[in-house]
Amino acid sequence: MDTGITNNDFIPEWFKLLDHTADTGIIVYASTIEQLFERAAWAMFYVICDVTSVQNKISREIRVESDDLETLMLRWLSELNYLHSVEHELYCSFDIIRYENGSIEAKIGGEKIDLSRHQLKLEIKAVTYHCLKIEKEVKRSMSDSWRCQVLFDV
Amino acid sequence: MIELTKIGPALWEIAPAGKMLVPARIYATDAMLEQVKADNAPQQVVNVAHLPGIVKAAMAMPDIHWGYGFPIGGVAAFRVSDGIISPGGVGYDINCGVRLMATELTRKDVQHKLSELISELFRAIPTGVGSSGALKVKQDELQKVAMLGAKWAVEHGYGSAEDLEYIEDGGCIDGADITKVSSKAWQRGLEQLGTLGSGNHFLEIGFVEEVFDKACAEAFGLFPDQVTIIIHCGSRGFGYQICDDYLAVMDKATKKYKIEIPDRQLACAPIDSDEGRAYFGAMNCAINYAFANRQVISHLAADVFRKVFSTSGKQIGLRTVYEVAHNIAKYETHKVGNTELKLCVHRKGATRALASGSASLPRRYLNVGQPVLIPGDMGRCSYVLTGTARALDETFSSCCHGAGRAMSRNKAKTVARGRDITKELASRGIIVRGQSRATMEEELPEAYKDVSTVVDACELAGIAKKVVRLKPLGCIKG
Repeated sequence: MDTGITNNDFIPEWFKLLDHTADTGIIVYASTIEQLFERAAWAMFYVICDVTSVQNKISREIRVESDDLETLMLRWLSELNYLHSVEHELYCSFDIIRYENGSIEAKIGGEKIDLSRHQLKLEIKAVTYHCLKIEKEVKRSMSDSWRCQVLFDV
Repeated sequence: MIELTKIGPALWEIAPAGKMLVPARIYATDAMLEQVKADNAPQQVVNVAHLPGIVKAAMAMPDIHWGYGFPIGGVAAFRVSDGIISPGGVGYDINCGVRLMATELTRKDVQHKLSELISELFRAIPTGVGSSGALKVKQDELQKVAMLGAKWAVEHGYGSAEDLEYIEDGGCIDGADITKVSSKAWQRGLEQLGTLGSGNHFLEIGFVEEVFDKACAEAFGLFPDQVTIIIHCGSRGFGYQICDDYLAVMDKATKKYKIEIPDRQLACAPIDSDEGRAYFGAMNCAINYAFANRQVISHLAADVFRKVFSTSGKQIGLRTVYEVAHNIAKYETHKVGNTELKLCVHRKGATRALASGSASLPRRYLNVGQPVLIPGDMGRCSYVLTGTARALDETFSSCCHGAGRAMSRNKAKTVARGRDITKELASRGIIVRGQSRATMEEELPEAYKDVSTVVDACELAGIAKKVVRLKPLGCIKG
């Protein structure tokens, strides 16, 4: 997924920041499960950095598994946060190559952190189960039928 | 609807009902009560009162607010014999804590060099998202850090052995088991030793603005106008990953041991079980990592002071006053009724506060009690308190840990819109340097509750007493 968004003050209409006193979170809408995972990842990096300044130079492949969809989302985002932390990379592009019951395979793209170009905002300690919810068909609009909310411990 | 009954000047109780094993108690003044009730935190205290092996009461300090599973500001103790241990009772940032250092310099001595001092500190101490690079260690060396804590740092030339006496548990806790730490946790920990991180973590230069208890302040080596350093940080990615790893383990363990919990986030295991011992062993590694982290940062800060003030002709005299942990679970022996019991005390956003006479105190503080360090926001003030006999009696020697947020980060950003927080603070004589403008906005002073009201509530309840108030001069943040 490449959103093509270049202005970080602009939040796409499928994404909202979730307000919580001590922590911060995201709500994303999508028309497919795959898109939901891709958008949630993009939204998490919006919380971490000025994601629109990140270029797609390095690519990685990721696979995560879980029996339930919400835990799958948690593991997907946790894995991305882990990679960001240990590899000193930021990601801006997320493609779910395969989604099957209980697992996803994805190709992600980004680059090494460069403080001269990247504005870093917040360190996510962990992706939490609190308020974690994935729902189908909220009928917010005809095209969006999946909704996901995730809270981060920051 | 939760019914709170006032049972002390600043203490409220929810009597045991249903499957609660003990009462839930919240320390708060009348004026604070509405705010306390505003989020779901009182229900969280009630939930904790259901957990097996809990003794006396599930408690919350006046800085109580909603947390993952257990509330922030929560204190709960479980019998080691048949009680549980829970990562949610400690938090993600294991052994997040505070160190206070004192100099021999006064405010007048540093004022003209304040800007340089803050800039040099900002240069020397890595801050911000994923900050790394203060020192690089290999995994076998990191394992030693996890076993030895601040002792490892001292052995490697960071600070002096004298510091250790003034750290909770001597800066090195027993029971670390490196075989219980995942490879992901080691990876996250490798490059983050000696780094502050982001969010509410900081290093602050301040001065003693007011002395409330002269004898106690003298014993702590604190005097009016004296320049101080506060360091607030924890176990970084190493601890976050350990918490994350064990939340998954505990989720299964809760089912395996058929522990009835009112909220999934209270996932736990018997202390005396494979899962309980594994978490305890891994958590202790993170506790030691955090002790080492603050020891290294203290040393880096001391170096900066020596560099900036070397030609001033003044005695700098940096010394660790004390260091406390505020996210921790550990074995302590306490009297419950007439019996001395070995307990696993969980403090999540709460500080140990020993009264005078405790065998765990450094000799210098034996007659006055432990310095309890309560940082506020970057614009107002912080406090040094000391523990009381009542805290020993009522709260397993615990009190509050800070101000607590009043606004969400988004709200704070909205409030800060169009303002230059750095400039505003500078006009009040406080120089701040942060890695990001977003952090400055999110951490603006009014985003926090007034720490003075929290501290006053502890004093009114009799679980701590005020020794000095510190006023900020400058601060570095993530």
